[in-house]
Amino acid sequence: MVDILKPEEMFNSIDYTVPSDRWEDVPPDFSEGTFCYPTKKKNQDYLGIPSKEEWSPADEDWKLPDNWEEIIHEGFKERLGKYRSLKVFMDICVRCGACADKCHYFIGTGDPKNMPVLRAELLRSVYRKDFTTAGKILGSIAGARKITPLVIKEWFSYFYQCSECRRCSVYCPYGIDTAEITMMARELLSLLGLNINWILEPAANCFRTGNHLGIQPHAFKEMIEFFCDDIEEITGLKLNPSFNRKGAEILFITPSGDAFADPGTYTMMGYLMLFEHIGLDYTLSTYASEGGNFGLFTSSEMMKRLNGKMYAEAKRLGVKWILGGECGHMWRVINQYMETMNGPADFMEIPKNPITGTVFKNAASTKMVHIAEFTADLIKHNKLKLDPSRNDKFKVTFHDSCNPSRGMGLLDEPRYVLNKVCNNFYEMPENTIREQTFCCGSGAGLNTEEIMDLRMRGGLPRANAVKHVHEKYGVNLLSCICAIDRAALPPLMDYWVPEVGVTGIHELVGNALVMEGEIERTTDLRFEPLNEEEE
Amino acid sequence: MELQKYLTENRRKLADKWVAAVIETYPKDSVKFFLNTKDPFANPVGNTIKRSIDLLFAEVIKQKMDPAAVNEAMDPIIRLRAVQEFTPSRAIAFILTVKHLLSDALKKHRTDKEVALFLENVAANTDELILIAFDIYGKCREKIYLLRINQSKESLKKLLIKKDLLCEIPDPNSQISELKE
Repeated sequence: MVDILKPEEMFNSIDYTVPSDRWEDVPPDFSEGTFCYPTKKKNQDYLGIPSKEEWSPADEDWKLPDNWEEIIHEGFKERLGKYRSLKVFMDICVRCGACADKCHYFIGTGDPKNMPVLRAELLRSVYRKDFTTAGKILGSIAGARKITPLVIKEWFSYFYQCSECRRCSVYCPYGIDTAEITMMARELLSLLGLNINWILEPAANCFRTGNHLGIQPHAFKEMIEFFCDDIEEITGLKLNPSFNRKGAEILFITPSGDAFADPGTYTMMGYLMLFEHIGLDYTLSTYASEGGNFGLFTSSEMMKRLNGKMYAEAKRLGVKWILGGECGHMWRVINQYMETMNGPADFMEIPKNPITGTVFKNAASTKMVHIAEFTADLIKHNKLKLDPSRNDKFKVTFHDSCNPSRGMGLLDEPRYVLNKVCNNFYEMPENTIREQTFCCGSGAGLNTEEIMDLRMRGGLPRANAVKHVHEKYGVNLLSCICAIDRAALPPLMDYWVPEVGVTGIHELVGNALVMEGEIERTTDLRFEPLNEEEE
Repeated sequence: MELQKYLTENRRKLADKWVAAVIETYPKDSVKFFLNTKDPFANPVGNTIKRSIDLLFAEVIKQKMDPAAVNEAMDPIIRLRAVQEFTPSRAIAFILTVKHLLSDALKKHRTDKEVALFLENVAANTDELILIAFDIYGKCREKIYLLRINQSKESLKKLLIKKDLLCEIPDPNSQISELKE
C-alpha cells in the first residue's frame, strides 16, 4: 500500500529552506545508551584480527593507530578491487530517496542519518574524495569529504545502527544492497580494531567451541537430553537423538540459541519430535553446534571461516546433506555467499527428502535445506498426523524474519506449515510482511542490552503491526523462523504489546504432532495447559 | 462569543496545530515524513502522535477530563517519546503547547467571562496532563531498565559458567595476573 501524495500535498511538501546544519556538521551522539560496547582485545587476538586496547566510544580520543588513514584507504581500495558490487553501489546511487523512509531505524527515530541513502553517503563521500577524479578536484561540490577521526566515529555510530535487514534494498530502483555497504563499512572499522563485543565474542566462541555461547560438547549433549526428558514427560515417548554419528544420512544444524535460550528451546523440542515421528536418519553435531554466523557481521573472511566449519563437519561425518533449523542470517550466508566462499559442496548429494522423495534442487550447490521447506514438503505429502486444535488457545501471526524472506524468498512455506498446525492464523498488514517485512530491530549483532532504547524504537514498526492484529483479531502469539527474533521479539513485545508471546513455528508443529504411541497430552511444550479453560 | 461553536468548528485546525508542534520536536529533515505519510504502518510515529493528540485535545477542552480516556490517549505517545532521544523534560514538554495554543487562538476574546473561565480550566487540565505524562514516562523508563536487567539475568550463560559447563576464551592478561599471585 504505497502512500501516493496528491499534487498539492507534493508541492506543499517541498522544503525550500536551506538546512540550518549540513549533515556533515552534525556530530554523532555517544552518550551512554546510544552505542554498543566495544569488544575485548582477547577476542580479536583469538581470531587473529587487528586488536585494540580497552576503549569506549564515549572517549573523546579513540586512539586510532598512527597510520589509520592509510589503513582505511588501502582497505577501501582492496575491497573496491575485489567486489564489483561495492564499486557499483558507490557509483550508481542517484539519491532518488526511494529508500529514505523505509528503514525501521529512520521510521522510529526520525534521524536523517538513519535514512539508508544517507547512511551509505557516509561511506560514499569518502569514496568520492579518495577514488574519483571529480571528488578529488571538486571536493564538497562533488559530495566528497576527507576522512577524519570524526567520520570514523560517525561510521561506528551509524553502521552499528543498521541491522542489515535489506528492507531498503527492496525499494531501490537500482537494487543497491545497503546491507552490503554496512558490511563493508564494518570490515573497514574492524581493520582499526573497532568491533563490538556482542558480535565478536560469539564469533570467537564459535571459532573455538563451535557455537556462540561457548557451550562445550558434553554440555550441548546434556541440554538436548534434558529436552528429551521433557518430551517424555509430555508425550510418554523416549527419544534418543545421536551425536556426531558417522554415516548418518543427514546432519541437523540449528542456532545454539535453540538449545540454550527460551523460547527457542521449545522450537528445538519441536524439531526433535518431528524427526522422531518420521524416523529420520539424522545426527546432531557438538562441533558444528551453531547455525548462526556472526562472521557475516564482522568480515567476509570471518564469515567464510565460520561457515567452513559446518561443511568440514558434514564431510567428517560423511552425511549426504544438511538440514538447517529456524535461523535468520545463517540462511543469508548459505543462500547468497556459501557457494562463492566454500562451495560447491560436491562431497555431498543433492538433498532428497527420504520420506517423500522430493529433491530440493534449489539446494543443489549448498546441499543445505531449510526446515520450513522440509516440513512443508512432509505435510504436503500427508506424512504428518496433526491435531491443530491443540494450538487453539493461540491466535497466531507470522513475522517474516528478514533474512529467510528477503535473503532467500522463503515466504509461503512457513505460512503453509502454520496453517496446517493451528486453526487461528492472521496476517499482519501487507506492507509489513513478506518482502516488505519489518526487522525485529535487533538484527546483525545489535541484540545487546545496552542499546535497549534503540532496539525499542527500531522495532516499533514491527510491534505496531503486531499491535494492530492484536487489537483487531486478538492475536496473542507472534511466530517467526529466526533465533535472533526469538531473543529480540519478547522484550519488544513486552514494551509495546505485552499481551503477545513469541514462538518458533516448530514449537507449534511439536504441539500439533500426533506421535505414534504417545500418551494423551494435557500440556503444550511449555508445560502449560493445552486449552485455556483448563488453566 | 459562542465558545462551543468555535471549538467545534475549529477543532481539527487547533488539534493539527498541536500535532505540528509535537512533530517539530523531531529533526527537520523528518518533519515532512512524519506529517505527510498517512499509512499508519509506514509511519507509526506520526500516526501515533496524531491519534494521541486528537484524543487528548478532546479531553483537555472538557470541563472535567475522563481519567481513563486520558491515560489511554497519553500512553502511546509517551511510550514512544520515552525511547526516542529526548531528555525527560523535552519528552513531555509538548503538552504545554495546548495551553498556549488555545490562549493565542482566543486572545481577542479573553475579556469574555466564559472564555476566561475556559482558558483557566484548560490551564488546570494541562497541569494535570503533565502529571499523568510524568507517571507514564517514569513507568516506561522503568520498563526499559527491567528489560535490560532481565536480558542479563535471564542469560543462561551466567548459570552455565557457574556450573562449569561453559568454556570461554581465556583472557591472557588475567591468567598472567593469576600466575603472579
